[in-house]
Amino acid sequence: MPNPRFAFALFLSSYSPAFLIIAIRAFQHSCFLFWTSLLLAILSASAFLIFIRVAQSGGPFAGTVEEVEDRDGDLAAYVATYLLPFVMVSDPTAQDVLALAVFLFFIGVLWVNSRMIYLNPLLALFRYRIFLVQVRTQGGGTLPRAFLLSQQTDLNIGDGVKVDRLANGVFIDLTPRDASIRAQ
Amino acid sequence: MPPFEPSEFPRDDLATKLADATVQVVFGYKNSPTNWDFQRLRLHEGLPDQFRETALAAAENLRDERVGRHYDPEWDLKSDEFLYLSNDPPVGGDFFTQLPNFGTFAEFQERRRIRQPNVWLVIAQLSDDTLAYFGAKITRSLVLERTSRLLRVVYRDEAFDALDETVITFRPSFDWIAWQDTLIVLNTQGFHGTFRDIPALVAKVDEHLSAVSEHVGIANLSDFAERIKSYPAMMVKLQRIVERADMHTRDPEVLRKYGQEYAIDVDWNGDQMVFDGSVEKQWNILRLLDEARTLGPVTGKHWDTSSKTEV
Repeated sequence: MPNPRFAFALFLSSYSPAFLIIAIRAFQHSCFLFWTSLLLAILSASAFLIFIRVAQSGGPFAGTVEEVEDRDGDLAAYVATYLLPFVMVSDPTAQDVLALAVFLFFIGVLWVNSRMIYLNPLLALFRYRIFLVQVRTQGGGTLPRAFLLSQQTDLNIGDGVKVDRLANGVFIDLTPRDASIRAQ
Repeated sequence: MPPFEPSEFPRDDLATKLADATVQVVFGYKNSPTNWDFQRLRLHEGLPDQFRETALAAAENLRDERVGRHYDPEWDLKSDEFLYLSNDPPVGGDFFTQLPNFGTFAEFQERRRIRQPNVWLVIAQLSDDTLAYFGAKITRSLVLERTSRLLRVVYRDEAFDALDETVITFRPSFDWIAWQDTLIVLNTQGFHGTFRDIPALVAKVDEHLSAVSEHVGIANLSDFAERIKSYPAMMVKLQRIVERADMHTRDPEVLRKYGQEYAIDVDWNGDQMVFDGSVEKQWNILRLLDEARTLGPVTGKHWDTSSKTEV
């Protein structure tokens, strides 16, 4: 798991599209909100890019999927909070901005503490899907059920995967997309 | 069941399967000789390939340049030999029973001060759904501590710099390989340093000496016991005397004559062997009790055996 500061930056990155929407809505209405939102969107998205770059360069271990459940719906539910920018008035007061900041802070604390690292709409841009899986390591034991970020269009029981751990309960599948290795 | 003969160990298979294995690197922390903790190192970029190459080099060296012999804790292992023993039941308490769960190990965290690991190992996931382990002891000389009194600076980026984090260096060789319930020992010192259970050996010294004393007395027995407890090699020898040899069960007169015939210098006081406090005499007492010579069926003479391990 990334350290708490970086994890919070990752949380902010999960809202980077929302920040971008806020920036667009604030354009020519609130200079402060426009630049703040734009900066947050760029910086947090950069943190995400660093994270995904490091995650993809990890040394995975080989395993086989023993149980799998599609959890893309979790991401859809999370994105529901993106309605937030649209309920904001276009020319917000300091109170509105402060209230939004406090809201984001508490959501962020929850996100970091609950290790919801897998809930990030930017992952979809990199074609990652969310699965809840149980993996048995090749030659080893069965791992506890965990979320798996995978670029595979489909994941089935018995598929071979090369996974690396991102955080407790969260793995990333580093198998090349739809690679023949899955057909074990 | 592991193969019984060292020559039957599938060294070809190991080297072949390692070529496309997936590897992990793990640190082991010895809480006690039978209780271990582990941490998994995150490997990035080309590091997994490099560690696989290191393990592969060890497997190829084992296959091409070494001959095997049954495990003998006292054998002076040469660079072209390996020792072989069964790892069923596994050595090291919960060491090997935990390793298959390497996927659940906590990750090694970089900190300014870290707990010094006792062993590092490469875990190779082979295509036949087995795990091969390549391990080596981490000695203090391989750890450069940030607070080291000896090493305050390092040469980095063409300049001397302070060591801002503890650095652990890896030797490109392994002390042992474990695969298919078999342990291959490549470096006895590192192997024993990792797995020898000193407290268990110490606890058994008095019991072993009682077993010996039932047949042949030893003068100054308590001093003899204390001395043995301070030398792991002597404790291992004593354990083997009781568990495998039979000389200590023979009549004192037979032992005395045997010592004279084969020039093993042991002092006697009646039927008692005398421990005079010297290390040399102490070793001679243990040597005499650990003798294992074969009786030539034709000549009727005793001959040195090349190994004291039963076959």
